[in-house]
Amino acid sequence: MEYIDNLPAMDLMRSEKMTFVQLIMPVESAHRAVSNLGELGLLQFRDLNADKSPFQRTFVNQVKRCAEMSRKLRFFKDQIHKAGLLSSARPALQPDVDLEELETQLAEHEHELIEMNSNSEKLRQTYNELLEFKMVLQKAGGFVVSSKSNGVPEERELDENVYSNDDYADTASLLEQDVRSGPSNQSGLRFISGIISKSNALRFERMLFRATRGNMLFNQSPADAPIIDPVSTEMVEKTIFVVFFSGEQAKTKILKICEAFGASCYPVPDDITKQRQITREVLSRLSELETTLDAGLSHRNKALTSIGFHLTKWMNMVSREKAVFDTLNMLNFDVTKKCLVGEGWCPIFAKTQIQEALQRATFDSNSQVGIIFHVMDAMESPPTYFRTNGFTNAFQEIVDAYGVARYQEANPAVYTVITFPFLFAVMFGDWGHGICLLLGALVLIARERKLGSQKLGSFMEMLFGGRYVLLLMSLFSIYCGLIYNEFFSIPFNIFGGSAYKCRNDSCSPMDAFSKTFYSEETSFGGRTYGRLGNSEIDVDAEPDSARQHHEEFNFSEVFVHQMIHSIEFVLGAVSNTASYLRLWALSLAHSELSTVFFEKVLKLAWGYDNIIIRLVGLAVFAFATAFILLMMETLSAFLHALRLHWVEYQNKFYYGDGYKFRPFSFATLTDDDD
Amino acid sequence: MYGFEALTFNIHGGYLEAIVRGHRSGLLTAADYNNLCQCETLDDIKMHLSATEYGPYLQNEPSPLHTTTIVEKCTLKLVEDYKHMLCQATEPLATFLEYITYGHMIDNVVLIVTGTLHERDVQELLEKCHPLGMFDSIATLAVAQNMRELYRLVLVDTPLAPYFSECITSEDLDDMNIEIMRNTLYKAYLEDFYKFCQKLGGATAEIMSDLLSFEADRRAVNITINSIGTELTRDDRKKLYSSFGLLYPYGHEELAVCEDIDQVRGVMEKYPPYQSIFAKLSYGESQMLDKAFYEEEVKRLCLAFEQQFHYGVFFAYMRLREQEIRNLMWISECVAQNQKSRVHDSVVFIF
Repeated sequence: MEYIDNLPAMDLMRSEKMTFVQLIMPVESAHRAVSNLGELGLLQFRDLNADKSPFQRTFVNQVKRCAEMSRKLRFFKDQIHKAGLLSSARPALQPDVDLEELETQLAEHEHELIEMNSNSEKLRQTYNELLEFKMVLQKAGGFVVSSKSNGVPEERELDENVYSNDDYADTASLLEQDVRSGPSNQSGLRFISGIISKSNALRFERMLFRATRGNMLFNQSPADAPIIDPVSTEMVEKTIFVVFFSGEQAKTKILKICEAFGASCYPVPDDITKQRQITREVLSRLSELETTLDAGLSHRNKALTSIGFHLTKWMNMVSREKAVFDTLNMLNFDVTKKCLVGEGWCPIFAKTQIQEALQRATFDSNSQVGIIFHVMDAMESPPTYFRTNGFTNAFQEIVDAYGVARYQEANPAVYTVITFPFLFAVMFGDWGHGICLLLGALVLIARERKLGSQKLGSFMEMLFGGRYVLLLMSLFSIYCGLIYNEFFSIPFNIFGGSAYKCRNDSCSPMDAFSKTFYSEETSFGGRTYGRLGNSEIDVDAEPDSARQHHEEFNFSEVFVHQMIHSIEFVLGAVSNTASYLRLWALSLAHSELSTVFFEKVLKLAWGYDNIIIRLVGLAVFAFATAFILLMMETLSAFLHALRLHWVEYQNKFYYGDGYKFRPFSFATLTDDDD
Repeated sequence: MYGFEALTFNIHGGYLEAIVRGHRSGLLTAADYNNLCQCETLDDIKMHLSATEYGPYLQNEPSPLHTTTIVEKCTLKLVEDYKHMLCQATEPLATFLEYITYGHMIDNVVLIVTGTLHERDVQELLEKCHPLGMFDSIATLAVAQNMRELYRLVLVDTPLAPYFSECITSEDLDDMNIEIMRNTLYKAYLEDFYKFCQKLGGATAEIMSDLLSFEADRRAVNITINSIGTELTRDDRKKLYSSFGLLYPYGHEELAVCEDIDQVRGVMEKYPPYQSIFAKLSYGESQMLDKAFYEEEVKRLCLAFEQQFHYGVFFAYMRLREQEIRNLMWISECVAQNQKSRVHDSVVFIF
C-alpha cells in the first residue's frame, strides 16, 4: 500500500479538480486584483452580463479608450514599418507609466506624427509637381522644339495617315503652317503638355482622339524615373505627353479629359531661351525642396525611432489593460455596496495562489476592505484542465482535437504517448528511415529555445509543435525496423528470426488481429474502463442504462435501446478489429515501396559502370526516399495512427464532451496579438 | 439539365457557393440590429460592428467617426467579397457576377452626368459613385454634351453599350431625359440579365426569374408613381417598363394609364403577391411603399438560399449586403442626428 501511495501522482490521467468560486471585490482594488489574476492565469471568469451588449457594460469607456490607444499604436507600427525602420525593443529606459499618462503621450505622438506627415506630404506634393514639371520641360520641350524645326516630315506623315479625309485637310495644313510659324497661340494651333501615369496613357490617347474626332496630334515619351505617389507612397511610372490641337472648344474638352484621367498639365513655353530659364528656376527650387524634405524626413525618422523603442512595451500594456477591462465587464457591478462580484472556475490547487494574489491587490491598492473569495456550488459541470508540459502537450492536443475530456474522465492522452508512436512505427518500421526521422526530431529539439521564440510558418509550426511526437515515433520506428530487419529495405539480420513475421506476404491477417488485440488490451490495462470487454454483460452494465431506472421506466424503449447498442457493439468489434488491418497493409506498402526504390533505382544504377548514371541513380533514390518515403509515408502512417486512436480506440470508452479550462491569462494574450 | 445540377454544379461552382454561403452567415441578425438601434453614438456602432465581419475594416478609423466613413468601409467589405468571388469564378458564373454590377454602373453614369449638368466637381462626384459600378474612364463622362457623345466617347467601351441603342439622340442633356435614359438603360439591362439567366437554365433560371421579375415590377410601379404629373406621355411611360415580370403585359397596360397612387394600388391589388404589400399601406400613402418593397425583396432573397446548386445565391447575397449597408447608413444617420425614434422607419431586418 505504501508503495502505491509513494508513486508519483498521475496528473495527466484525470483532469484537475476544479472548484466554482465567487469573488467579491471592492471597486478600488478590483482592477489590480484582476490584473494580478491575469498574471497568475489560473481563474476562468464566467460572463455574468451575457445578456448585455458590449456598450451597456460598466467599463465600456475604458475598453473604448484602450481600443483607441491600440489603434494609435497600430498606426505607429505601420508608420515605422513604412519608413523602413525596425522597432527594436530597447530595455525599458522609462519607468512604468500608467494608462492615463500613456494615453496623453500617445495622443501627443500621434498629433506630432500626423502634423509631420501632412507637412511632408504637402512638401512632397510640391516637390512632385516640380519634378514632373522638370520632366515635362525636358521631354515636351523637346517635342515642341523638334516639331518646330523638323515639323515638315512629321506632319506630312500625319497628313497621310490621319487626315486623309478631305474635311480635315484644311486643318491639317493649317497645323503644319502653324507649327512652322513659331508663336502658335495667335493663329489657332495650341498645345497642352503634361504628365500622366503610364497605365492610363493608352486610354487617355484614345479618349482624346475620340473627343476631338481625331483632330489632334499626340506625342508621348516615357518619364526617366518613376515618381512617388504622395497618397499611396508607391512608385508610379509616368508618361509625358504633348497634345497639339486647334480651337477653343477642343481645349476645354481636352482639359476636362486631362482632369478626368488625373493628368497634370504644365505649361511649356515654345521659346527655347524661356524654356531654359524656367528649367533653371525649377531645378534650383527642386534642390531647395530636397534639402527641406530630407531634413523633415530625418526629423520624422528620429521621432519614429524613439517611439519604436517603447512600442512593444506599450502594445503589451494596452492589450493587457484592455483584457483587464474586458474581464471587469464580465463582473456584476453592485452599485449600493460599491463592489464587483465575479464568479468563475479555478483548480483547487490554485486557491492559495489566488488568495495570495488577491491579498497583494488589497495591500497594494490600500483598500480598507479585503477581497472575499469563497467556494460555491455550481450547476454546470466544471471545465477540464490538464497540466501538460512540453512533452505531453502535443499528445494532449491530439486527443483534444477529437474531443475535450469530460471533467475528471480518464484521459486517453496518457496511453497515446506510447501507443501512438508505437502504432505509427508498426506501419513505418525501418530503422534507416527511423534514423532520418530521429535526426530531424533532434534538430528541432536542439533548437527548441531558438525556434520557440520566433514566429514560424504554419507547416514548421506544426512540425515544431509535434517535435516530441516525432522523436518518439522515430525511436519506435528504429525499434520496429530492427525487429523487421529493415534498413532502407535492406535486410539486416541482427536478431535472427523476426517476431513480426506477419509482414511477409504469406502471413495471414489473423496474426495482425491477435497482435493488435493484444496490444490494445495491454494498453487499456482494464483498470478503469468497465465498458471495455467484448462480452455482452458489459453493455448491460453501462452507467447510462443504470441511470434510466431512476427515470420513468419504459421497457420497450430500454429494450430497443439496448438492442441497438448490442448490435452496434458487435458490429463495432468486428469492423474496428478489421480496421487494425491497416497496420499490416501500410507496413507492407512501406517496405514494398522502399524495396522498389532500392532495387529498381539504386541497384539498377549501380549495375552500370558509369559514374554519371550511378550519381543520377543515387540522386533519384535520395529524392524518392526523402519525399515519398520520409514525407508522404510519414504523413500517411501518422494519419492512420491518428484514425486508429480517434475511431477505433477512443470510441470504446471516451466521452470527450467536456470543455476546456480557459483561464484569464496575460500569457495567452500576447500570443493572439502576434 | 434541370434537376441534374447536383451532378456537375460543384465542379466549378461548389467552392464559390460555399464561400457565398459563408458570407451570408456573416450578415447581421435581428439581435445585432436591436443592439445597434440602442447605440448612443457612432463610436458605439463602431464598437458593436467590431465584433462582426466589418470589424477589420473599421478598426483603424480614428474617432470621431462620420456616417460616410462607416458606410464607405462597409461597402469596401462588400466590394472585396465581390472581387474575391469574381477572381475565383469561371464562366458562366463570372459573367453572371458581372451582370450584378451593371445596375450600379447605370446609376454611376447617371450620377456623373447629372452632377456635371449641375456643375459639380468631378472628383467629388466620383467619391459618391458606388465602387461596384466603376469602370475605366468613368470620369470622362463629364466631357459629353449629349447622349450621342456620351455613347461615342465613353460608354462604347463599357458593357452598357448595347443597352444604349434606344437612347442615342442628339438632344442636349437635361434632368428629364437623363432620368428617361436611366430607366431605358435599366429596362434594357434587366431584360438582358433575364435572358441571360434563362439561357443558363435550371434552378438559376427559376430563382433569378422570380427575383428579376420582382425587380422589374417594382421599377414599373416606381416609374408610374414618379411620372404621375410629369410631361411623360402614356406611351413613353409604357416604353420604360421591362418586357417581363408578373405585370407584363396586362398590368403594364393598366399602369400606363394610372393618374394617381390609388389607381396604381387598384392595379397592383389584382396581383396576389403584391396585394400584401399594398395592404400594409393606407390609402393615398406612398412613403412607406419603398420599405414594404424592400421587405418583400429581402424575403425573396433569403428564400434563394433555401435551394442549392444555382447562381441566385450570389445575386441574393450582394443584394442582402447592400440592404444591410442601407440599414447601417440609416441607423448611423439616426444616431448621428439624434433621431433615434425614427430608427425603425427604414431598417429592414434580414433574419
